[in-house]
Amino acid sequence: MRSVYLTIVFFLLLGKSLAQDECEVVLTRATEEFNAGHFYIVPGLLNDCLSKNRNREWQQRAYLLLAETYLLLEDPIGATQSYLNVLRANPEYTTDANRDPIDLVYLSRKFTASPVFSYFVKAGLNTSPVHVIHDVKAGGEADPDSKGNYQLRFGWQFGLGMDYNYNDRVAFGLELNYMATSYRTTEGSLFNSAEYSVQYTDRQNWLNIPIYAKYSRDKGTLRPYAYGGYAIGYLASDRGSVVLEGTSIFDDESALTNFSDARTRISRALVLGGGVKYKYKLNYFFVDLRYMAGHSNFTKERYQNEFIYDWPHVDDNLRLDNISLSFGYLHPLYRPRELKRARTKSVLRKIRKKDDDQ
Amino acid sequence: MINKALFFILIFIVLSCDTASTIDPLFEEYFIKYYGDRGSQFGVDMVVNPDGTMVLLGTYVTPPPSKSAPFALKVDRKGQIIWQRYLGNEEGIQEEAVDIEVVQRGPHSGDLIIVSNITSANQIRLFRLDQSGAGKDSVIISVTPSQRAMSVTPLEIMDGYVIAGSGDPSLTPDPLLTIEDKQDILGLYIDNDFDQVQKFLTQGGESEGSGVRAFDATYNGETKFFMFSYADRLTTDPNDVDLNFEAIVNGLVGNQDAIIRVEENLESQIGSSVIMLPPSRGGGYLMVGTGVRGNARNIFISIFDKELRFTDINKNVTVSNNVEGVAASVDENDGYYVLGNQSTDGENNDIFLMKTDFLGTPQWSRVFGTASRNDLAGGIQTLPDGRVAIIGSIALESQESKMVLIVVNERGEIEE
Repeated sequence: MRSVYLTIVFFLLLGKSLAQDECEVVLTRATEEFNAGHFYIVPGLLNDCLSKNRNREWQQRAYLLLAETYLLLEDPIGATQSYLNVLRANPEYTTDANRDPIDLVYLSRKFTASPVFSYFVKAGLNTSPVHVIHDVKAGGEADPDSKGNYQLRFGWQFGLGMDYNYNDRVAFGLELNYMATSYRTTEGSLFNSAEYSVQYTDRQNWLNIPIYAKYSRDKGTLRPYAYGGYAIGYLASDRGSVVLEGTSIFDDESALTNFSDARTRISRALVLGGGVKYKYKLNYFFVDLRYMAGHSNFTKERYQNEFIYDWPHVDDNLRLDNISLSFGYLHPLYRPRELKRARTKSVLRKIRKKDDDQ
Repeated sequence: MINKALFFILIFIVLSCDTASTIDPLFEEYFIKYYGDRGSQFGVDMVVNPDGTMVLLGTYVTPPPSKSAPFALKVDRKGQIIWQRYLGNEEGIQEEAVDIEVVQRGPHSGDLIIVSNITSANQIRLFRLDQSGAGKDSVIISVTPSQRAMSVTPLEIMDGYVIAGSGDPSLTPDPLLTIEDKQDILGLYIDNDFDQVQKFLTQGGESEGSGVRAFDATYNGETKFFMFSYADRLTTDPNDVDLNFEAIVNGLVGNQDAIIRVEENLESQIGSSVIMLPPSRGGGYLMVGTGVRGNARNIFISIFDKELRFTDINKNVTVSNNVEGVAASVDENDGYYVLGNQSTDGENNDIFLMKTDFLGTPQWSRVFGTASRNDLAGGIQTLPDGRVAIIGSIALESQESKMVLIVVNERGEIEE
């Protein structure tokens, strides 16, 4: 069965290869006819292969030849459709005044294929630095300068997003991210004893929606970018646990406890970030580094969930920041279209200059 | 136009950040705080100073081999420790803290007076500390073969202090009593400098009884002691006793002048605490304890006027049949706060707080603690700013109990 399948695939590929070779011969002949001035037969020669040859590079050359043909035949509609098809085959094709006929260059200025929207997916790791607003203690020991002892922990995130490309460099982005974040705090010297300590670990799951303005380089294989904006987050769940250590008397660990109702569910954060896009054919891979400065007090209630009656821990008032590193893939949605305002002034100037010289 | 809009958006973003100046630190006003050391600590009583500081009294039990001793600590209005010290703590002595009061007049005005029971020797001890926690004086009291204190009260007319409690039943044996004579009411007078200790009241005629708290007051033109107590007295049946609240009027010397008993058709009333009512409430006294009827245990309150007549309340006041009365305090504008221990499963308790109006009608109740472990109430005070402070102990998951100070608003809530 496997050998039958392989045989079928072989013959399909062979057929495709043969067809492509045949169309290459056709294009060569059409080019010869164009150069000989036999413009009327060029479209007819290419029609059949245009419908069956899906090779983008071949299509670009064929439609370019057609566009030039229709320009010389003074068929603007045909020229327009042909050049749009050039951009569909290669959205990033640009004419070169030094290489291409000036009328083709002029025609090309009426079109663009720049993407209006781009979609991307990404995933990575993060950590949540804590800003203590108020240090609240479960014990009566006073330390006015204490701001709690918080340790960084790693989490992860994945998400998808969309850029609205205002122009080739400026875009506005919107994302939907799922983030798993965590922090830990340790309170030592509890109950007047250096041997007592309570360690609390909190784990959060967020749905996060950042919106931002982005500026990026529009040329080259490596395209750095930077952005700034704001993010709204929804705390989907929050769970915490305590480890109480007291010399050799006991080491006690609590069960993972649901703290969702004790938290502020909606968070706000300032978003700043940047990264680099690597252009691969018509798409991009990127690496992104982001800092979110939390604006909301994470703690809503600290005594209502009765955890305090089991373990000597209460939450501080705090803000959660987040630093994340993500890797992703971006796919621009190129849209070949005629511009409302063509950028033809520079071309016209060159044409007039040429005529004057002549 | 866009630049202006962006500027205002940026200002909005910056100003919307939660900071220490935008968040009301209510946790400094209403809180739950633990105090203690290694081992277990049980909060039993507290006093409040006019400046808002509080002095907490408890018993400290060390990790095995267990040893118990009183300890006291002073905290500010936010519950942060100013000082903490242990009392007694001699080798071989087991001692439990009982009561703390502030001396209001005399040469030691402002000092703290603390009474404890030396359980290993059936003795009573008095301590006097100043407000900085420095020890000023102490005395061990052993006027009977065994004695046990329930309270110490600085006197308001005379100089000195009175201790209310119970003593050896052999002091005043009752030949008519056919059931076991377990303990007798005991009242002790101590002078300012702990030089003179004198029994002023030993009651017999009951199987079980204890003084709860004593005060000095004017009675029929003379200065007398009012001993609020509970005791079972013989009914017409020598094999039957009724355990009731009672108030006994007695001088420093001589026999009792009067005895006023709460007559209720209950099996027993066991007293826990007595407070003086403020002049705005006409003076008088509120006694709180537990009324027992069968398996039901209810908070029982009696209010006496200045002449020891019953007034508005003399009844069970409760929302539950599993609560023992421990202490009470007054909201001069609104009613009484009553503190108790609510049994959760027959073995464990939660701290129970109830508010009643001036007629004893419950308005609301709150419970603190977890049902699966033994959390105990100690004392309650209404703070000068209207907050309510409760002292007790919470048994944590670590199997140790810690002294707890719970400060709530006038509705019994921890505001956040």
